[in-house]
Amino acid sequence: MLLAVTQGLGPVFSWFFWITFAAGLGWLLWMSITGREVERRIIFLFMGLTVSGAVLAGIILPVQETTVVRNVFDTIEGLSEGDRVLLSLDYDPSGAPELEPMAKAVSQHCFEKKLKICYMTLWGTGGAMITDVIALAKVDFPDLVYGDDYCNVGYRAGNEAVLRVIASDFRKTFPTDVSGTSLDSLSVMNGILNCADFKYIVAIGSGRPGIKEWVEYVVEPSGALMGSGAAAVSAPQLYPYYPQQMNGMMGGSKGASEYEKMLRRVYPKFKSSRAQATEIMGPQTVAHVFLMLLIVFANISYFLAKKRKGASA
Amino acid sequence: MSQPNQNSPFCKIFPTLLSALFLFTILASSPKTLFAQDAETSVIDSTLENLVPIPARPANVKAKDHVYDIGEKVDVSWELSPDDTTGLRNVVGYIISRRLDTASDFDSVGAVFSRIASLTDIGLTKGESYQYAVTAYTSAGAVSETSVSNSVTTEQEWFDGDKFWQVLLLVIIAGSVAYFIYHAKKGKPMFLRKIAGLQAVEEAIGRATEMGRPILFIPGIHDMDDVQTIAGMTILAKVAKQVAEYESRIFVPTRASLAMTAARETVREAYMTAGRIDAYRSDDIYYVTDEQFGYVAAVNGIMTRDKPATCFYLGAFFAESLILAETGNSIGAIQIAGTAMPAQLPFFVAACDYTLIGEELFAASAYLSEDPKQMGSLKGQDVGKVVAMAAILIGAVLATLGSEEGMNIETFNSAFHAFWGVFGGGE
Amino acid sequence: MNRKVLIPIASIIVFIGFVLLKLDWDGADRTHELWEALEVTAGGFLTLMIFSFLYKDNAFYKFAEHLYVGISAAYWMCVGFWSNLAQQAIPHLSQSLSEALGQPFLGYIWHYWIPVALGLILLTRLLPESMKIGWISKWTLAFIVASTAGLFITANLQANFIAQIASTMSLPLLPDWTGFGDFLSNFDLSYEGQFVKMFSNWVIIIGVISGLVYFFFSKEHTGWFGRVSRLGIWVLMVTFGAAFGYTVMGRVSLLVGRLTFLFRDWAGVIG
Repeated sequence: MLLAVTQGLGPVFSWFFWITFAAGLGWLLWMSITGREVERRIIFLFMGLTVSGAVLAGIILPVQETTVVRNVFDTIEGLSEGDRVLLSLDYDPSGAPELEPMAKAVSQHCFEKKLKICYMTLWGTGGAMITDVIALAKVDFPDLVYGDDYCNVGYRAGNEAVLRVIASDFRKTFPTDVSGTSLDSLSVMNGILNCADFKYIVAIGSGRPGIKEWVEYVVEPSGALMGSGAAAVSAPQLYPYYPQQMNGMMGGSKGASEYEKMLRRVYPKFKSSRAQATEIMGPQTVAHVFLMLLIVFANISYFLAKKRKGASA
Repeated sequence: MSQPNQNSPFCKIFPTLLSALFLFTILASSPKTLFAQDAETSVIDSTLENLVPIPARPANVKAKDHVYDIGEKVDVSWELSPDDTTGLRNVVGYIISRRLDTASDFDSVGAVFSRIASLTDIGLTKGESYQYAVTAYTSAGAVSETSVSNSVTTEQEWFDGDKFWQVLLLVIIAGSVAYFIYHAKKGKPMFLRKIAGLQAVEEAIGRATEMGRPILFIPGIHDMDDVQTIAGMTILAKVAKQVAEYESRIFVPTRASLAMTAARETVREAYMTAGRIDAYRSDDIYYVTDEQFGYVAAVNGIMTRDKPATCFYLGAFFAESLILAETGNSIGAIQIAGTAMPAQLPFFVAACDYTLIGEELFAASAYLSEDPKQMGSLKGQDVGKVVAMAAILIGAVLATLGSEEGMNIETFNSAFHAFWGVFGGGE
Repeated sequence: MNRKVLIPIASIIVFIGFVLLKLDWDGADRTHELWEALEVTAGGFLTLMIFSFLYKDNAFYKFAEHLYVGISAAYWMCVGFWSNLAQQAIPHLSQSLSEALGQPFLGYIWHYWIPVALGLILLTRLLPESMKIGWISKWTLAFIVASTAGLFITANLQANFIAQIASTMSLPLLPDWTGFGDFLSNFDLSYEGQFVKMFSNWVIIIGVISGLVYFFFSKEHTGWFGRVSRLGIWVLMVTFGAAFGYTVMGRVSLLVGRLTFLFRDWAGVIG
């Protein structure tokens, strides 16, 4: 399998790479059995090599779908042409590797279903993220018309206060879109008075304000239907809100890759589009295996040391 | 060959069904309906488009001001068209339109599917009078006659009656907080259990002094609007006082500008109480940047360059928790952390010497400051926990006995739903 | 020449070299090409500079760190100005000013002066202490604390207290129960099975209760209470373990994302 997945590197180099790597692992095991300390930098180096090797090899592994993610997909799948969806991208460049694939996949799905998207962000650095996602989605849908198919209302300062207000009156906080055009002249926003007027809200976020605030300030008071995409770091603490307060959630790259898979299963035309999260999951899994090995090695070392101590005492 | 079993259920059901169907047909095609249909076809036979059967109109349209709103909603209800679930059965939906009492034309405000007999219209103006009209339509595009409602004037209510139980719970919890604060202010002794991480604080400061190295204090990355930052500041007051007494040095880099001002004030006051205001350096407490990882990068730099002997991370943290705690660990500092961010606790637990888990942060802050307000809120929140535990236990037992997903015993069914409803469930 | 001069000059030369390597002069729009090459190369260089911290603290890391801190502080200042003043306050206060800033005038509303005044009051803190007027800024602080408290209490009480109690209490301890015999004959260990449902409901309810007991401060944790509280801390630790795993996944994703940037966008090794 290793050979198959490293064809991209050229056979000699990939052989060389993996043999060296296996030898390195052996060395790590030997170090831990003999109870020697391994410098942290060497671990960093190993980690870097593992992930680099896997990225260069372009490993793609199968992804299993879960209900939590499928609920988001099915909700969008169940909407009908012309329905409006609110997509809030509350993250910055550091969250982008995990969250951009979600935003892209959800956008592609919506545009394929001819739904209209309103993009917004609660993060000052989120404006650039929106532009990126729109550009990515437009690769497959070059004919999208701004104002008719989607719009971008951008960022407004105020964190939770913004949500509190848009839950009952969208235009009070966002009277205009990001470039100063009145929302009344955008057909996407026709008849949208508050958050509950959107058929579905997808909040994609990596911190505060983010998904938790969406639940507290929009879903609870207005009863809007919401799904979410969370950075892996904050995903565990958002599970209590599922399924009552949000009907689905994509957690980290895994959630994003599941969505990408569903999208490609239902709409094979997207198979040619880059599946960013699925690309991440290959190296990700390799890194996880490496980490597990490290944990095993460290435990061997720990228990052996304990035993030695016990013997000498 | 055996004879077909004459007693098989199918043999009995089939004739029964047939006769029922027959009876139903007779009843349904009563002279009135038969006549009406005949008349309709005979009159409008002539043009092609009128061949489409027109459904009967929905009757009895009522408009009512929506209760518990700010005067922006009206509930519209009607009786289903006789051709919806019965009769012609060709109704696919209803169109609802509205007009101001003074206007003459109706504007469409929405449509619902068949079998739905109500709609809440929103986005109205308080104090205006409106009238509604409802029309049934078919998939072939035929539209029934319109039924017009009474006129309704929107009204604003002062309170949202749906939130009665929420207010009651708030009163119970906030009331017990107020009660305990009142008690604490009177100087009555209050019991708070000991928190393991706290004894370590003094030791850690002492160690830094012995080593002649500074102390780093991070009050989280949130602003003063987060109660965790405030708890962090309360502990900072205690820490700074001790630092002043030991003649050590403390650095407080902050991510929020308001947090910086608050931290300066806190530390200054602490130095003042310790009687060492001359040793206070406001430049040691400074704003770095609002950008999360920019801030972390800067703090990392401070750690590796100034090598503090003790690091405190008390407040709200996000992704930076592990980066900070790891760097602190690599420079060999004693680390005491505390946060109510569930996602970050694992890293602090793994990489720090002591961790105040979740509410322990607030408890520590209350314990150290002996501030009646904090003590009172902590005790009041304990009441909230009792309420939650009791509610969950009672609810779970009732759900087991009475809910549809449980044993579904009828006697407990309504009890469960009533109890669940108090907490907003089942909507 | 000493190292302090040589290293920066050498780095700049290497940087320019990499930009030239990245340049595609056949492209139609040369200015655009140049900018893009600069952007990607700078991204690659800065990534490597920050990575170099893993080896040890060094001048390159410090340069990247300071650049980041400086740029982000300035960025936030601009965002603060545009999103607070230019987009929200001024369009409701002055037509000529908002037009000068390129924002549509949204109609004069007098009460927008209140936040402006509160903001100005906050700035009194900057005045020299001898003027003894800084205390007035506490009014704004009081306003912020009080209004956020009001905002938070209702939202939190509903979303995180009441609604969470409601969803926990609605979990039956014996889901879909139709008798013990039936339970045994339909025993099923799959995810949708009755036993798994029952087991998860028990775990959630016991976990929530014991966790609450751990955070109960009004009683010493001894005896049966102490045992429940110990169970609570176990539940917490298991939760932390799961959360740790999730975060490791997130971190590795970020690393993969960065390395993909280096290999794909910068070096162009993979397609």
